[in-house]
Amino acid sequence: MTKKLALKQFEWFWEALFNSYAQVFFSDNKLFGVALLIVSFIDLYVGLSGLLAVSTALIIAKILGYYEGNIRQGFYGFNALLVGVGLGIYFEPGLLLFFLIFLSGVLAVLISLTLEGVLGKYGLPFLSLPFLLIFWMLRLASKQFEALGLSERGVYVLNELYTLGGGNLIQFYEWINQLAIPSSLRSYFFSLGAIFFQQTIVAGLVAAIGLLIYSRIAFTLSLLGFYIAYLFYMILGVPFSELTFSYIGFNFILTAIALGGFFIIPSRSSYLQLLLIVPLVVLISVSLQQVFGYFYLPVHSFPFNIVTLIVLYALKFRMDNRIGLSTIFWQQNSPEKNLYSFSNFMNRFGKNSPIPIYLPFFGEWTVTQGHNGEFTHKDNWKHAWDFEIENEDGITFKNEGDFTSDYYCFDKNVLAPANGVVEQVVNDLEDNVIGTRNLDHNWGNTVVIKHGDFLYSKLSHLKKGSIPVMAGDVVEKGQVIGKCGNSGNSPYPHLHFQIQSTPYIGSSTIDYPISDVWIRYHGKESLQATSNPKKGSVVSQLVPKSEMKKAFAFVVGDTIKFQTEEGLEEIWEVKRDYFLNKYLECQRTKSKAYFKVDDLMLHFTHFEGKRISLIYLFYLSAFKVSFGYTHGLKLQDSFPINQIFHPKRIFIQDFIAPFYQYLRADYTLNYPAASRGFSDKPFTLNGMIKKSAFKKTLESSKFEFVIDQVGLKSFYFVRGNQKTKAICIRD
Amino acid sequence: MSKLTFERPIIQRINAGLPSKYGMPRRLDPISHIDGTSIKSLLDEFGSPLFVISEQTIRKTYKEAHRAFSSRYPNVQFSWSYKTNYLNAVCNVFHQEGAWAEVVSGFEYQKAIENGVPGELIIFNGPDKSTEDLRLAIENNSLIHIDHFDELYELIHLSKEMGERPKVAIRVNMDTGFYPLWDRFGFNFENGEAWDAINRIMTSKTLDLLGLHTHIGTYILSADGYRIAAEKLASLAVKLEKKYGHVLKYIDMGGGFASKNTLRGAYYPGTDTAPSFDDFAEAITSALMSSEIKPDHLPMLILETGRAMIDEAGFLAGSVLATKRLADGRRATIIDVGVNILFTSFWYDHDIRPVEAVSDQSEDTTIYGPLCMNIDVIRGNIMFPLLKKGDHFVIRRVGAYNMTQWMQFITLRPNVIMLDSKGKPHLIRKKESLETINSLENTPEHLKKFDL
Repeated sequence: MTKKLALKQFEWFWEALFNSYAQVFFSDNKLFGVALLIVSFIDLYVGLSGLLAVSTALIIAKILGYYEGNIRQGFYGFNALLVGVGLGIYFEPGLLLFFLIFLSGVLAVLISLTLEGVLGKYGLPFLSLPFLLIFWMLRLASKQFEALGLSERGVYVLNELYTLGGGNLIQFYEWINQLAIPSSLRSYFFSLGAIFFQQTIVAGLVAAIGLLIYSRIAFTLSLLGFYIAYLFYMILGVPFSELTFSYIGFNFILTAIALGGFFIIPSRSSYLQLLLIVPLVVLISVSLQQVFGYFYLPVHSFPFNIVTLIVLYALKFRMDNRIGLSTIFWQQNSPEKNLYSFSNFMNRFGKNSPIPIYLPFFGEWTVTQGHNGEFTHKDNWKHAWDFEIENEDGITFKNEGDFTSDYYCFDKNVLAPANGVVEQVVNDLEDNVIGTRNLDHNWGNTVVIKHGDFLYSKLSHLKKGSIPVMAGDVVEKGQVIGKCGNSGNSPYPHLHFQIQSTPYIGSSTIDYPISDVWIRYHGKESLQATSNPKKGSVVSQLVPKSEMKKAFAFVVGDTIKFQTEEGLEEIWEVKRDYFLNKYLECQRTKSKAYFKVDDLMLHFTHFEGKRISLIYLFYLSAFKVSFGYTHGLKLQDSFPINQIFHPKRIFIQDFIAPFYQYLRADYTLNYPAASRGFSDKPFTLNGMIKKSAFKKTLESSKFEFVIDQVGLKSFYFVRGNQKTKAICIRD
Repeated sequence: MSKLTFERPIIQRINAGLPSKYGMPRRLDPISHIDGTSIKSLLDEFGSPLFVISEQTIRKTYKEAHRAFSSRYPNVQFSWSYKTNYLNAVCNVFHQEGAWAEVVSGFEYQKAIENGVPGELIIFNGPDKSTEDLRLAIENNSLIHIDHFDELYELIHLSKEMGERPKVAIRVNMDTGFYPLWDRFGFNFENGEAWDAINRIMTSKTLDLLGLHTHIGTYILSADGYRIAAEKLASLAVKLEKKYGHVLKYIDMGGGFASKNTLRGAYYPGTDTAPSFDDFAEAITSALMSSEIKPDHLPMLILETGRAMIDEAGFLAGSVLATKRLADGRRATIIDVGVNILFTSFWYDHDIRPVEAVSDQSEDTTIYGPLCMNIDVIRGNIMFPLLKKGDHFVIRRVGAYNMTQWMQFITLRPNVIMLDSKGKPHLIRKKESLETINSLENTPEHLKKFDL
C-alpha cells in the first residue's frame, strides 16, 4: 500500500523525465522518451550526466512550485538534459563534473523560466536557447578549470561500447557500420545522434525509429529537412564531410520538424516553405560557424533556434493566422493530432467565435447583401450583412412597395444578438421615402452594443423612435432593441448588421461569424455552428426545446450517472479546466470528453482517455446536438480521424495526411420525424457513425438517445455485435 | 363580321355632370380564370354550381400569416380551425404547411384523427365534449380547453379514474372593448372566475395546466382587442407563476381575424377595413413581449384563425337561371346558388362577378337563389351587369364556413374541387345524389306501398 502510494507520489517525476527526453523532438510520447534515454546511455557517463541534469532540473522546478502541467510536459527538463549530455561527453567524469552538472541543471530551470517569461509574451517558445547559453558559458569558463580534464571518450567509440555491452555490442556496431548505407543516409543518422552528442549510427538509428513511432509527419519532415540542406550544400559546393556536417545537420532536421509540422499545422504550404527556410538555415549556420570559430565555440542548434523564432514571430503579423501557414491552434504535441483536430475544427467551426453572436431577429430573413457585397459592403466595411424578409416568391414587399409599411421587414423587432452593454444609440433620424437615401447620416438610426473586449455589434437603418434602450443599458440576448426601419443610406427598409472591434458608429468591420444558424441556401438546408451566410441565403434560429436543454446543456458542477445493463455504474462530472474548456470527466476511467455548449447547441470537440468506456461512446454519439429542431431534422458532422480510428489504421494515412485524407469518420443525428406538441412521452434521437476509407464504408455504428421531460433517459450504442445500453440514473 | 351579342334594353338615368366622390359608376370586372384555369371549362366538366378551392391561395395566405407572427415572436404555432372548413383536402393542405388541428366536437375530433393528425397536436375546444370524447382526448394526450366548471369536474374525475394526467388549458372570456361580449364560452376574467378555475386545476394536482386560451369574437375589425386580450392572459400567466411557480407552455389567442369580405350594412368594403395579419400580429406579440413574463419563459403562441386563412381561397361558380323584373321595376336575376349552400350570404355582401365579359352597362339588381323560399336572397341590391340565362358568374371569398354550414335543402350539395398549385382540378367532394340522401333513410314496411 505504502509502496503504491510512493509510486503514485513520484508518478509526476517519471512522466516529466521521459517527456524531457522526448521534448528534444517536441514530443510528449513516453515511448519515444524511453528510446532517447537509451540512446543517451550508449555512452554510460553521458547517459548518467544527462539523467543527473534532468533530475536536478525537475526536482528544483517542483520544489520551487512551478505549474505541474508544464513540469510534467518536460518543458523545464529538456534543456538541462542537453547541457548534462554535452558536459558528460566533453569532460572526464568525476565529482567535480557531477557538481557542475548539478549547478547547470539549476541554471537551466532558471534560464528556461526567464526565457519563457520574455518570449512567452510574444507567444514564442524558448526552444533550446537555455541549453545554448549555459553550454557556451561553461565551455568558455572551463578553460580556467584545471581540475576538469577534457574527455577523449568521444574518439574511442569501441572502448566505450565494450564497457557498455561487451563483444556482442561491438559486433553489432561493426555490422551496422558495414551495412551499405548511402553516405547521405549515414550523415542523416549521425545528425540525429548528434543531437545527443552521440556520434554513432546506432544512436541515430534508434532515434530515427523513435521519431517514426512518435510521428510519421515529423519523421518525413526530418528526412525532408535533411535532404534539402544536403542538396543545397552540394549546389553551393561547400566543403563537406559526414562528420562536420553532422555537427550542424540536426539544425535542418529540427527546423523542418518545428516549422513544417509542429508550430505550424502541417500542410502542402508548410512542406513547401521548407524549400526556402532550410537553405536559410544553411546560410546562417555557415556564417555563424565563422564567427563562433573565433571563440572556439560550437554553434550547436543556434541556427535552428534563430530561424524558428524569427519565422514564427514574423508570421504573427499577418491579418489572418489561420490561412496557409496556420499558427493558431491547440498544441497537442503531435503534428498528426494537431493536423487532424485543426482541420476538423476548421470544418466544423471555421473561425472560432469565443463569444457567440446570434441572429438579431425572429423568423426567417433573407441575406440581401453579404460580405464583400456589390452595393455598399466594401473595403473597411466589407464584413457586414443586410437582411430583409422575402415572401415565397422572393418579393420583399406587398402591394406596390411604394411605402415603407409595404415591406415585410419594416417595423419588425430587432434583437440584441448577444448579452452586452449599449454603447451608442441614434434614434431620431426620419425614415426615408422609398427610393431616397439620407447620405448625410449614412448609418441612420443605429444601436452599437459591446459584447466583450474589442467585440461590438452594430445594427443600423432602424425605424425612427423605435429604440427603447439607451447608452449604458445592459441588454440580454434576444431583447428587443429597436425596429427595422429605413433611415440613413437605405432606399428601402432593411437591417444592416455588422461586427466591429471599436465602439463607434462608422467603425470598420471585422470578420466574425454568426452562431447556430439554420440556413437555406440554393435549396439546401443545414444547421451551421458558425456561419457567414451568403447573399440569397434564408436564415433563422431554431427555438431551443427545454427537454433537449435538460438532456444536453451540461452545467459545470453537475454530475451525470449512468448504469449499464451489466450493472456497471458510471459517474461523469461536468468540469472546467485551467483554460476554461468544459469537459465531462468519468470518475472511473478518468477519461475526459471536452465540449462547447451555447444557448442553442452542444458540440463535443475532443476526447482523452480510454476508448473502451461508456463516456467515449457518449462523446461519439452526442458529437453535435442542436437543442432546437424542426421535425425530421438531420445533423451531420465529421470526426477528427485520430479520435476514432485505431492508431494502426492511420499509420499510413499519417504520412500523407497534410496532402490528402482518405480516411473519414462521419456523424449523423436524426430527430423525431413528426412534431410532438407538448407530449411528455419520451422520444428518441438516433444516429450513426460511419467510418470509411476512399469513400468505401469500413464500419458503421448506431446509437440512440431516449429523452423525456426531465432530460436523458437512456443511451444505446451498437457497434457490430457489441451492444451497450445504459440507463440514466436521476436523483 | 360576327353577330353581335344580344343585350336586353335597359333604361338608366344619365349621370351627366361631375362624378360624385365615389367616382364614375363602378363596372364589375369579370373573373374568367382561377389560378390560370378557365371557370367555364370547370363548370362544363364538374357541373353548375361548383365550389372551387385554390390550394395556391391557401398556402400563400398561410405563409403570409405565419410570416407575420414568426417574424415578431420566437415560438409560433398555427392550428387549423376545423369548423371553418373541414373538407379533408383543405385540412391536409394546412397540416402540410405545419398547422395543428383545432376541433370543437367529437365528430371533428374523429375527423382530425382520421386525417392522421397525432393526438398530441389536436386542440379540443368548445362546450360540447361528451364523456367518451374526453376519455379519447385524454388517452391521446390531446390539449383539452376547458369551457365550464362541469367539464373541469368531469376531467378531474376522469383523470383519477383513468390514472392519467390530462393536458388542459382554460378558455378565458373577457372585456376587450367589443360588443357583444362573448361571455358564454369559458371563464370570465374580470369577475375572477378564470383565476378560480386556474386555482382549482392547480389544487387538483391531477390535471396538467399547459396553457390559456381566449377567443374574443369573430370577424374582429380592430387589432386592439387582441392587444387587450393578450395583456390579460399574460397577467394571468404571471400571477400563476408567482403563486405556484408554474410556467405555462402556451397562450392560445384563438381566431376571429376578419377576412376581406364586406359585412352586410358596412359602409366601407372589407378590402379596405379588415386589418392585415401584420396588424393582428403586432398587437398580440407586442403585448406578450412587453408583459412581465420572463423572456426565457415566453410561451408558445398558438393561433386558431380560420376565416382569414381560407375565405380568400374559396370560389363559388354557377349559372344564371333567369332574369325578371320585379313589381317595383327593379331587375332580378335568379341564379343556381342559394342560401342553402352559401350560408354566409346572410352576413356578407358577397363579391359576385360575371365570368364572361358582358356589356359595360349595369343595373340595380336583386340576386335571388333558386330556392322556393323568400329568404333566398344572395344580394339585396347590387349594380350588376346584364347577365342572361345560361351566363356564368363567380362569387369570391366563400372558403370559410360555407362548406361546413351548408344545408341539403330542396336541392343537393354540389361538387367541390381543388385546383392544385399547377391549376389542375381535383374533385375533393362529390356532389350528392338522390341515393346519398335516400341511403340514410329507412321507410317502415307498412309505408312502402301506396296507391294513388
